[in-house]
Amino acid sequence: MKSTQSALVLKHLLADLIREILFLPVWWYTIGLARMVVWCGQSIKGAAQTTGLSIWAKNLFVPMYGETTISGKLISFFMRLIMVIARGIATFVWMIVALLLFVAYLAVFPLSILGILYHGLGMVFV
Amino acid sequence: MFNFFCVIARRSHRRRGNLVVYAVPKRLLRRQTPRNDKSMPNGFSINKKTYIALNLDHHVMEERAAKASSLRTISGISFLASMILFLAGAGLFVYQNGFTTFPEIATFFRPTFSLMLFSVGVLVGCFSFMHQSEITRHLVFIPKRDRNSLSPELVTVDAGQKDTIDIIQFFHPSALKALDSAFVLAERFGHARVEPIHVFVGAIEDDAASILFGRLGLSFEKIKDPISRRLSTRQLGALSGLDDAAEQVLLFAFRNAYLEDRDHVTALELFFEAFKAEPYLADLFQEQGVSAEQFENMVEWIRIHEKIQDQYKRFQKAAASKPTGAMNRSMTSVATPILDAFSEDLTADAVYGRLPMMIGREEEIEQVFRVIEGGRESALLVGPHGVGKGSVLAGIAALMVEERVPDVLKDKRLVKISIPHLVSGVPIETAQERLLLMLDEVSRSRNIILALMDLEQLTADLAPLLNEYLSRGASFAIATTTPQDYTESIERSVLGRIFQKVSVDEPDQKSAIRILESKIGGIEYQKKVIFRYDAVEKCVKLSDRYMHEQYLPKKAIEIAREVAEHVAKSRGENGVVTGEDVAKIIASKTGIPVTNVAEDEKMKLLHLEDEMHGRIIGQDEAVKAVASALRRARADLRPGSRPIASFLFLGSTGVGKTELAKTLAATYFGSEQMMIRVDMSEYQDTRSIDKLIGAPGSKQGGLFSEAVRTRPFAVVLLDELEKADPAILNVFLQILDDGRVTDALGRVIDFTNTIIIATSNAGTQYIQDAVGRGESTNAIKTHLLEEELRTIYRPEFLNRFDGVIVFKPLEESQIVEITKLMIAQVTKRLEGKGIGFQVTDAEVLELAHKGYDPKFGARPLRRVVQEEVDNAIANALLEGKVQRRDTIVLDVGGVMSIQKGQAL
Repeated sequence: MKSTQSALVLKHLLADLIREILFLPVWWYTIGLARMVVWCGQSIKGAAQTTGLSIWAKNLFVPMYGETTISGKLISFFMRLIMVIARGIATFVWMIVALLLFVAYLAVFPLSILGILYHGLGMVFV
Repeated sequence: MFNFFCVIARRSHRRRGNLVVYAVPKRLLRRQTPRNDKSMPNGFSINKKTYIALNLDHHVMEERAAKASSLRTISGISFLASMILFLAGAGLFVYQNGFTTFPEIATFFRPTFSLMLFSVGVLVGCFSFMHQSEITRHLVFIPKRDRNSLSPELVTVDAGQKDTIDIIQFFHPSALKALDSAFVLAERFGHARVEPIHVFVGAIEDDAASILFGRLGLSFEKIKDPISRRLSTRQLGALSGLDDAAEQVLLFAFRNAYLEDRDHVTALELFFEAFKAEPYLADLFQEQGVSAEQFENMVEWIRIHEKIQDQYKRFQKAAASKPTGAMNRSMTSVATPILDAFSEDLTADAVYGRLPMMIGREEEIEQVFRVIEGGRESALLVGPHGVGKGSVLAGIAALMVEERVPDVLKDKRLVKISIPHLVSGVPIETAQERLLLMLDEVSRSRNIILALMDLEQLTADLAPLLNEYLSRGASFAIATTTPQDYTESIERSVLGRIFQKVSVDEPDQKSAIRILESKIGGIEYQKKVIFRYDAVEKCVKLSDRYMHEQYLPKKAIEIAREVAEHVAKSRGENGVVTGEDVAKIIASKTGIPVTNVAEDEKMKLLHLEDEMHGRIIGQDEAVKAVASALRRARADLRPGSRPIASFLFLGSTGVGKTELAKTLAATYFGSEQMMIRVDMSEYQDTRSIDKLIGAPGSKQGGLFSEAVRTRPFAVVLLDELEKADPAILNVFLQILDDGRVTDALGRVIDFTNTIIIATSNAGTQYIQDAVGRGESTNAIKTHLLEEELRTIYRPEFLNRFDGVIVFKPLEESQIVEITKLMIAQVTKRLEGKGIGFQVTDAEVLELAHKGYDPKFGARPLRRVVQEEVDNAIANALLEGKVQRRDTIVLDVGGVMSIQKGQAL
């Protein structure tokens, strides 16, 4: 009985492997790409949440530390502006990293095939 | 365990010669359809969708298992291959080009084996990435339940019905494995259908089932033979799939997971539902001492444990981004130095894991949120000490960390003010100033919700300040108090107007068991012990029954801690805490024998009459009635809502009524001192009811009610009951009926652990005359109840007693026996001084004769023994006639001689 079960597993294994290998190029630029876009969006959103960008922007005109004097309000506004800019930059940097990863995703699949062909054929023919 | 049944199956086949040949399915995937031979509902309707268990058979299960195995294999191989190729290529490339300098760009364009290897590694990595992504993409989760939605409805699905959803896709690998095992088992036994018992055995190897068996103190060994016998009676034939009951097991397991907000159906749910669906299993477990309710509570314990783990993971994630200082995330708050000095930040405590995880108070928290969201009112949690008001506050703090709270509570912190710190050691003006400064900080900070434990502690000078502050709507507060303090100090005060009451009631036993189950993990970790289920159950049930001054769940948690400590000390690391350990602790606290009846005690109980006759001479009926009541109580057969037993003893003075009550106290409660004696002649008018249960408006309970409140496990002796006022008897009417009475302070005094004995001299003359005429005891009792006592007690009062017992006047022969008992007491007293004592039979008869008086029973005898024996011995001792090792011999006529002992 164990051998029949193993045969069944092997059968599935081969079928799945062939199907997935054939499906890989299509998947990479359809379903995979869509998932990558979602991941990039979520990652940038997460970065903005971690830096608290929206909270700082929302409270731009709210005095910090309960300081309601004119000078306090002014200092608070500029301080918050600086913080919004600094946190904005941090979020932007993360956005760039996420976009780079996205570009890398787009390129990695054809590059790996090119690499195999170039180096494989090159070794044979050069 | 499962393998054991497979072996049994093989033997069974050999016996029956019915070897089932496994057939490999021709098709890869059989089309599954709802079965069309439905005799019972086969689906659940949730949000207009129908979830069903499609017709599963062994081939489908094998296909699923093979598919899962294939996917796992591809995952492992592709990941491993990509890593090896990638690292080998990169390593070879670095080796060829040196470690020190980065190679020129042209090097990458020179065809090499290493870069080809690297490229292949990257491509296999892409494949692995896709494979994993697809697996996670196809993961499906049980739909989330709306908070207010009802339990899903059972529906019948026809064979042709479309748009149904197969519940098997929500099954966790552990559940699929259990189902597969069920099919394998059915097939090996040659059974025609998979039934709940197969599913039960299939799930038995799951970790959760092992935990369940361990906690219940059961071993597989004890149930394997009965299950084998049950399996051998199932219908044989070619295996065609699940029977209706097993299909319902799957459906109900799915429903449980849905109601529990789980992502998947686990093996535990199958195990539990299979148990419920197979009455044979319930009988089998009952025989092993595990009821269906205990089994369910144990399943709930495992669920709670898993829930806490999920909750903890989610909480940790949220806690990482919650500020723990005075400052909120938007930095609009201000520093609060004065508030910080007199308070504790509960949200920060929650972040650092200092507060316990909350289980089972969601309803109360929801009510608090409704109060806060509803308007400008603050919430006041009202409940007795120990019911979990602090846990509700801790739960709110935890939700605030996760920001799963109404908008008004978001990005805020819950700060608990310590009222004793605020007011102690300073004049009231300073305390007022402190409070005002603190409230000012709170209002400027704008991110603080105040928590006030025991609001009644806020004095009349401070309450208006808080009231004024909260009335302005500057912030909210969540406070706690007890029902008594709420009525006395808050309800009609200024604070009563601003706080809206949210009741936190004592949980019932079932909920308390669940709350305790959620705490046991922490106690086990701390004390390094392991709790069995019966220990948890007894912590709740026994503390609820015998510790009336405190409330659940706190008293049960405290008992659990105490028992854990005791077991850790006595049995060392990993000691197992059992129900008996809990019973011992409760017994030592209360003096009530609540442990299981041991062998030697069984014998003692069965021969209780003989033991009692060691102190009571004659009065067979009374001794038998009392002994039977004790046996009932010890076997736990008594009703829980009435006193353990109640008797009315009738008879003249000196016949042994009080002595029997004392014997009872010593036998059942361990000491003669465990007797509350009430002289009813002190309660002769209506006003004396104040003395009994306290005067209305006073701050004290009654003498009697206080005595029982402080010693709820005792014999209550109501002496000379006939002298009490009828109004007093009405109070006892309720006590005898309900086992409780409410005192002047509104406290319920519990009598369910007392034995009530009332003595009465009413009808004494009649008893003596009737005994003299030789009437039977039954005839005397009937006449007493119908004639003599009618004028003194109302019939309904007499009916409340478990037994009305007539004590017959003592005969002279019984007086002789009592004399011997009294002499024995004297002998015992002298033994302590090293002096022997003997009384000749003639002298015993003489003493008995002198002490016998039919009217006064054995009472004159005590006086005679005192005068003729004790006095003579005392004189001899004082005169120095008797030394240690001497023996005093008392002969007829009170003649005393001394036998000198041997010199040392």
